[in-house]
Amino acid sequence: MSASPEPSRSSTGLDGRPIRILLVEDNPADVRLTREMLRESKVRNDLLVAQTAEEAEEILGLTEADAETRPDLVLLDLDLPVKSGHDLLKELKSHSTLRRIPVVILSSSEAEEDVLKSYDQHANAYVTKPVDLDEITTIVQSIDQFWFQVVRLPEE
Amino acid sequence: MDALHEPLLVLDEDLVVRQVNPAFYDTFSTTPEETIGTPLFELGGGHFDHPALREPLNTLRHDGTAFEKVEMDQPFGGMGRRVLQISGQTLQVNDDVSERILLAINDVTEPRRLETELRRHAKELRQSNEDLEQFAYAASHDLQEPLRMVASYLQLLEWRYKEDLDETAQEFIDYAVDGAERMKALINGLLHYSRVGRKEGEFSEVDLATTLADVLEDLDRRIEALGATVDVGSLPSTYGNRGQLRRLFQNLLENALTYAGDKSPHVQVSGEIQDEGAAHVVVEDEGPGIPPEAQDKVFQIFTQLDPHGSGHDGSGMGLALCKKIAERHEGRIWVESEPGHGASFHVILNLSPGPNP
Repeated sequence: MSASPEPSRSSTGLDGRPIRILLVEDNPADVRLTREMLRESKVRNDLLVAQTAEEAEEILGLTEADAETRPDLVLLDLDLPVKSGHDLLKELKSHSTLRRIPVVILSSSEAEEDVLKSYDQHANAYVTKPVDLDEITTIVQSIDQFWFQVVRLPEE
Repeated sequence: MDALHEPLLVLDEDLVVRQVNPAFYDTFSTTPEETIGTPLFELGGGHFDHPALREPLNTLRHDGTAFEKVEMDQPFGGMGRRVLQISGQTLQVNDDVSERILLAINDVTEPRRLETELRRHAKELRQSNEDLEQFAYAASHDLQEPLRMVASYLQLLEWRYKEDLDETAQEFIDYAVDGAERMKALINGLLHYSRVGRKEGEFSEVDLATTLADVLEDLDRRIEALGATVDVGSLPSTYGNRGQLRRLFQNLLENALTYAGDKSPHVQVSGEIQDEGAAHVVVEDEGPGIPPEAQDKVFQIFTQLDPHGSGHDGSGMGLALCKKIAERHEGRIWVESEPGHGASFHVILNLSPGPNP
């Protein structure tokens, strides 16, 4: 990856490549929905899916040595079996390099406790899963636009 | 002594029974033969021989210190288990030089039992309320998920296959989506409702004028769209949870706007301080009003008097939530209405912390 700031960063991803997204979500219907919504939103992406926090750790751990395959963004569901999304978030955000990856919490919980806890654990954004597809599209496009066109992330 | 209803005993300095009143014989189903001349601790099956009584009696014999309401909780022969409170003091009988001891016995078994039962009921009730709130919260939270799937995939179907669907198919999907959205509103309502009880929330002084101003700001667009006017009179400060009170008045105003009638509705909010240290706030609309038989029902959950009318998509939880909030504030809410002449919702709130805030 080039060391200079990339004007070519666009919705087609970093350096023209698709955005690598790690989706941590245990509900297959939700995984499929996210996949479809990324498609509907015309966000070019490589979607990695982990159904548990442990699987996510494995994917992140394996890819750590190889920055080329490290996710650019983590979409994290809080309600996971065994190890919770909060636990995974805490781990991610205390890791020396992985903590730079933006983590967007996708949760069905509107509970204030969950929102506060997520931000306290350094989540980059908290989004309540909407029912309306238009809202989902807006959110997916906003995430793409904000994280890959507006903000400056560390180059590695 | 004979006329008194509580059993009384007179003992001599050796704790031998010298005299008792009829109430004693009645209460302990015993006779003078079994009683007079018998040492106290040998009465009945020795059921007065209780450590709780021995010590104060000894002290009383020793230096004349009276004791009050010493409690004995044990079986008393045929009477079963009893809780007795015994008080003792010295007694100077006219010409008798020796001191006597007067014991008064108060049977508190029944009040104690009622007290315990009351406490148990209160505990059960509290537990059951907590369970219910926990259930409502969990249910509404867990119900959201499958519902979201139904709604999302229906919409996706509609998006993706729009061209392949004929008008009827489109219509079916619309109805299904509409149903899912209504369900979501209901679930959200239930979620909010369960939260009012679940979250204790902080109580402090709440300026109702500011609260109403905030509410009006939130409803600004809606008020404008309806061409409505909302007049707010002077309002006192009250004691409560800011967020919950805001929700209460927001729901009342939304309700008033929804049912206020068609053309430029007018809503009046007024308040006064009552003598008993309570705030009385009234939200009045000029809508069609509520028939008397429905006036209590409107505060029940999932109640909508006209669920498919005038295009509102409420959850039927708004007023139920108002009632729950008012009750959590140890206040009251009720409606007064004459059909055809609008409705006025009355809210009573405490001005300062009550005995159990």
